[in-house]
Amino acid sequence: MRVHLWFTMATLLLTFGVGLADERLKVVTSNETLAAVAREVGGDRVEVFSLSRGVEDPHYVSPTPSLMLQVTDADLFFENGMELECWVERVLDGGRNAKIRRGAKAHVYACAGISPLEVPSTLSRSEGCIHAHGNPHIWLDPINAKTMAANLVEGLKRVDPEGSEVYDQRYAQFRARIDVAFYGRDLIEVLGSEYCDRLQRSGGLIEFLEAHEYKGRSLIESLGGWRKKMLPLRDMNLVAYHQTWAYLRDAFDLDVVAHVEPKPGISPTPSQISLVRRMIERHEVPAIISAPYYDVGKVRTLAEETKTNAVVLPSGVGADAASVDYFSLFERITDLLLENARS
Amino acid sequence: MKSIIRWSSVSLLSFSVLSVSTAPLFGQESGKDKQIEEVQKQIQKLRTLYENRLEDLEKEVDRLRGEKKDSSLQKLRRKAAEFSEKKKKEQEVMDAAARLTGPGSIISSKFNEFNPRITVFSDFLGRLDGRRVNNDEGVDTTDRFSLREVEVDFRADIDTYAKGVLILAMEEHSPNEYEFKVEEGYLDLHTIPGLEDVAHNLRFKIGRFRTEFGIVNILHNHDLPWTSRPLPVIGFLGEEGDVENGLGIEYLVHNPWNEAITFNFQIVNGENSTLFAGANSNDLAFLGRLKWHKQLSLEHEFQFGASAYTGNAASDPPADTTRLSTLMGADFYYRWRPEKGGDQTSILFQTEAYLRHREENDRTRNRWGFYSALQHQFLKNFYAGARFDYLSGAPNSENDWHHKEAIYLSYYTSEFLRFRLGYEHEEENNGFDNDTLMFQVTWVFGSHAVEPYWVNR
Ligand SMILES: [Zn+2]
Repeated sequence: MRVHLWFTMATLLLTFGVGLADERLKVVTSNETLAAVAREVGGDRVEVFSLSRGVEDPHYVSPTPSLMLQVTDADLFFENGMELECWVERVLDGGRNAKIRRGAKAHVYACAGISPLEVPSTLSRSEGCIHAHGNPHIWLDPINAKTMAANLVEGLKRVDPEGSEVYDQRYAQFRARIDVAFYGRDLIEVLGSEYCDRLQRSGGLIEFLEAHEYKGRSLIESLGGWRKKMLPLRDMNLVAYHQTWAYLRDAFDLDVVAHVEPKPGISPTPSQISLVRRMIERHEVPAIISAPYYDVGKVRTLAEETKTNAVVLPSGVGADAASVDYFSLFERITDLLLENARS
Repeated sequence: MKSIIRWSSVSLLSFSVLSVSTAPLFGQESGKDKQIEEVQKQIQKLRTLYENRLEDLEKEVDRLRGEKKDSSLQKLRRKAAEFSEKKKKEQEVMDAAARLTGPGSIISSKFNEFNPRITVFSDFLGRLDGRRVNNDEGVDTTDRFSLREVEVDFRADIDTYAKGVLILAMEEHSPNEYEFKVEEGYLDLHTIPGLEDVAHNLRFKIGRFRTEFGIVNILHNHDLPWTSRPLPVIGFLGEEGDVENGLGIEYLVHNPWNEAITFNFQIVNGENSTLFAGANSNDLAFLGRLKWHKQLSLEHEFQFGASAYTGNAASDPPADTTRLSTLMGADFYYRWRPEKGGDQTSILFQTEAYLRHREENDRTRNRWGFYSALQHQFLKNFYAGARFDYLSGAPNSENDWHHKEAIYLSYYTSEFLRFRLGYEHEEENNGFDNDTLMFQVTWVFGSHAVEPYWVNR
């Protein structure tokens, strides 16, 4: 009898629970940067929700029932991958939405096809807690954003084939905007996106541009966008809190000479702090950069003691008020670095 | 170039017009008009011919020019490709050198990925007591070190529908005597084959598991934010909490307000010896739990829960009678973390209240208890906590009371190693009291993914 009652209750709840479908595709992402990319390529066809906010550490988010609720009726799930979001598995388990489980049709990893930096040669917890598959902070290189968007477009087309044309078109626009914003229109017209990327990936873009000319004009004069904006900081020595900035470093030929964390995810130790201090003095480091969710107080104290600048950089979309989409994120990062890191 | 072509074609054209127009002078008078018409047609034809030819030539010139332009651009782009290849190779050589000099040289094999993830949890405790204490078997456990428990946690995907979890535990139940047990071993059926769309908000648990009563019963010892379990949990569910064999269904309740409401229903053996009839029982017990989680903002989060657990309390009742024992619980937690620097500081308040209603010979007996706990993360890796427990009616008398005050200080070196100092004061109205100083070390190693294993951290 009692069993009966319980089952009736459960059945009632279940019937009540069959949800109503929304017209737009519900895309859920693990963080706001991915949400920004999804809005770029999805346009009006999608409704995008992010499980975490830009001011949160993307590595550590509590997998609460509220997050699980968000994914139950998602049509597509978009996450970074490379063990950036270990908490996502619990959210997906709790959300029990078979469509978007890892490996399913409507699940997309943004990192697919991106060559990782800082892949450890051995996997050991003594090398720190996180970044076992290499540095996962891939979105901090504008070239990678194009690949991330391409991966998402593939997923969107699988889930919503009718929108294929729209997604392709919007993806092409996003690519073109990134190219112009990163390299400038002139250089793209001369070299084309593909060759710019090849040079950039090899780390030799600036060297090549300086050594070659086209129509009697040095190619470096054709360079524009963020790449040109950041030229004054080329080869600048910086200290960073966490290994967040590897891709940003390579994108703009910066140098990170030390990290305040001795190993990714390990809190700073006195010996590491003294090492960092020595490195700051030896390399005349103009700035210590940190994401807003780290121990900014410690960074400020360290900067004061070593007479350098503490710069809280937005590490992703939504990490500060000015970084509302992928483009404003890079405007903000480059502005802040130029303001604070010029020695 | 273009002008030369144009000029020469114009002169050619005028020459032909001239030669054609002279012809009629030698022809017949009557055919003159006809001939003129013929000539005009021919002129028209020639003009078209030359204009077409002219256009072709101009196109050819454009093409040649473009080719010249293209070849310099192509050369540049080819150079760019060669240059980037060269640079990449240089980089690879440097990377390889770094790898050779770096620690180790083999990246983990993919074959391991089909094996379950294995995690080992070890929990070590040193205690200093104010008086002699015995464990529940009456063995003296005063003032000693103890590797309290070692747990091995295996988990893997079984197929696309289910996950498997097996947690084996070795526990020092008496000094130097270890008891081996299956702490949990269950199938987590997260997707129901064929019903993915209809019942996608259901999840089944089949096997042996910690029952979903309140907040802390589902936590393993090493996951607790304290060194000991709260008194009401021990008093109503047993020393280690309640672990049973059975079935469970979890349902994410769809609701018009789009709130995170979860409903759990579990049918298990009613073999809990504290609450029900113990191992000899042949009756089932039923558990229901409803919880509502709310993320108000990034800073504020809370959860309300209510649980009910009912079964037969007598192992050998008179024929055709059952003596119901029902445990009801209400729980609440609130967590605050600042929007900026949320992993540096946080505050957690958590409380659970329990009421047990039990039918005994010709009367019913109620017993209740609660605990409240506060935890403050004051530095990234440091947590200070305090807890108050109260339990009415100690095991032998319903008028008794029993309470405990505890304070803790925890330090995490990383997600995988924790040191904890604790001080507990315990008092019963029968005159028993004890003060205990505790030193606990908990460590975790294995192939699990990085995730915050410590609940409430
Ligand atoms: Zn990281």
